[in-house]
Amino acid sequence: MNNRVEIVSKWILLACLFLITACSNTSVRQHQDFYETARSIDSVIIVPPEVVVELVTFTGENEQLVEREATVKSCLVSLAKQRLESHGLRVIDFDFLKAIESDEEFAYALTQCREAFKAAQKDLYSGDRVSEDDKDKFQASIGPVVNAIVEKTGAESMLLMEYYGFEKSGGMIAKDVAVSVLLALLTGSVPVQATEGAALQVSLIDTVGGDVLWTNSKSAQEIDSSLLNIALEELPDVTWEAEISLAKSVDPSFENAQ
Amino acid sequence: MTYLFVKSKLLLCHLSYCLLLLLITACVSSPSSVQPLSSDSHRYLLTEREQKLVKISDKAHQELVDKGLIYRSKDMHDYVNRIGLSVVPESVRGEVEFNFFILKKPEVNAFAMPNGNIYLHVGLLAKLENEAELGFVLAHEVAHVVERHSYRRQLNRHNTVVTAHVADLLLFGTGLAYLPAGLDLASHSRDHETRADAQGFKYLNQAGYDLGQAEGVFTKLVDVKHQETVSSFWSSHPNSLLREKAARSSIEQQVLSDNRKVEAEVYKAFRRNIAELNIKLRLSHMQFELAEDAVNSEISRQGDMAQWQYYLGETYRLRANNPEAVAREHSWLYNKRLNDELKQEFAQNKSLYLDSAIEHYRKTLQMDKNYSFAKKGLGLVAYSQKKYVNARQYFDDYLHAKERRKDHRYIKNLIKKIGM
Repeated sequence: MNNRVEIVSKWILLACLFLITACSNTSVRQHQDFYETARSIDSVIIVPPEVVVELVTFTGENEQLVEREATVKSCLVSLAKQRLESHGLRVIDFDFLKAIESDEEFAYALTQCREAFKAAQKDLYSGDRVSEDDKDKFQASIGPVVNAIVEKTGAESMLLMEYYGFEKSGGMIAKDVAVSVLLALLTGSVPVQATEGAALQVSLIDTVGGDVLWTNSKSAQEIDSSLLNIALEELPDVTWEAEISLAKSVDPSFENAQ
Repeated sequence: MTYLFVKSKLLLCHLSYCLLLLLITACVSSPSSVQPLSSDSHRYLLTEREQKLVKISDKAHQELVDKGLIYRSKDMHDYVNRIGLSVVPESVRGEVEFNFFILKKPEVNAFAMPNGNIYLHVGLLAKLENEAELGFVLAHEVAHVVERHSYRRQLNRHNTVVTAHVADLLLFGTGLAYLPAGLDLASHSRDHETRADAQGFKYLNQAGYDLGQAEGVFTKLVDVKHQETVSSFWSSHPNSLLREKAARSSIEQQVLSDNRKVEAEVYKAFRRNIAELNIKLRLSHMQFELAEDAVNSEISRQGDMAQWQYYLGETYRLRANNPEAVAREHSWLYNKRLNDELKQEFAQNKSLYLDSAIEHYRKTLQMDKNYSFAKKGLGLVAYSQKKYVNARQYFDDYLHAKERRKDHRYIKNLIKKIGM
């Protein structure tokens, strides 16, 4: 009898493993020319992230948590800078606030880039799930609108980030608890609902050709900028133009070796 | 033992329900006590909630500025501001500071914020035909501010949402209670729109505009292909026929002023700049069919010109390159299910779209041989068709026609990819 149980459980385990491997999907979408384009990219600019953190209240009058937004925003920028530099990219410092204030056209071009990416995102994340093997078969582009970024900043690529976080108010948590208690009384099981959560979309875009080189999305049950670290961990380690230039300045024979 | 268990369950349920009823009565406050700004007892900005609304409006305005979404042509802004201020009733001047802005958005929409800022989308301005119609749209939005509809809506939402949460608890968190709550909010919103229409006609009459001409706005509502492309000004309103009927009865109740203005020619001059921007915005939002409609509408209004043929070319070229976006727009406009079959249908049309694009670009150059954007278009089509020699030639012509094109890097990058 014990033997039979052991065999059945082994089969179940095998089936589960098979299912896990077959369904190994990814949130990463990578351009098919990613590696080739990377070799022509020397620098990157980190566009100020779009961050919304709100308090979900019982009355429906949700509040934007401005201070938390500012903290998340600055953490995202410094984390991104650190990670991109560790990848070998040259991160350009640029005063977006000043540029936006003084140049309406640049401000609008930036908005158009964000809107164009959101439109491309619909294609990138539409339909079926994408397996690890198929993640690098995309060709999304946001078009020539990105040229305004390279013209103004000189950066050959840009990092776009969008972050949404929520925190439930005491009233909302009390409502969730009450629902859980009622359900527990009826069914005997206690469903637990998240009291806060966050989602992040991060994308690297070629500012010359407009290609969406790489993008990833992550979510968590807490408001924390470290989501970016998790997302950027999946950015492939490639040789950027920045690294090639650096290597050439140290060792002129580097190009031939490549 | 089982009996005792069931009994205690029931008792707990009863207790929870009593608690919820207590919650409902504690939270509900009345929006009907809010008076319009023009009444003697309106007590504007006395509550913390209304002050907060104004602060949120100021912040939202700053965001629109930072995003470069406000159209900053001084002449056009001055024109809209002048018409807007002319429809603000005397009784509220000094109470709220009204400001009018044009937004670079293609939707047929306009909206008002409780701080007195009123925004008109380019998509709406392109639909209008005379100053009387513009005056009505502005008067309608001014009425929302005067009637403090945002504040009332917030109070309504507060009450409805609280009640819905409680009802949701009674339904064990199934979420079913939120549907009637949504409908309830929509019905409040429709009441506000009806009221704003009636008040709008009153203000417009006081400003001396022809109300009969302004009524034309409702005909344009029927013209809007998809009602969901719009929100505040159109969608939450009762259907357009009812709206027209109510408008007529509002007009009949007015003592009409003698000098009734329409100002079609002045508006025509103002609109000229708006029309092209509207088409560009639609294209950048991947609304190809709506962009094509807008171009055809300009051809019938202003006559055929090289620029319109160029934009027709653009609608087809972009369709060929973005079949999924074409399918999405189609499903949205005609309420069809977005599935692989629909996507496939549009993907198959790629060569047809490219042929149409070529035809329109060529027509552009026949009308104006110096219209170099058409050469870029032909280059991009040739690039898509992998006719690289032709593409290179067109790109070179485009780049040489004018120095430092905004998109010169993009085009040069394509030339580099061609590798010739």
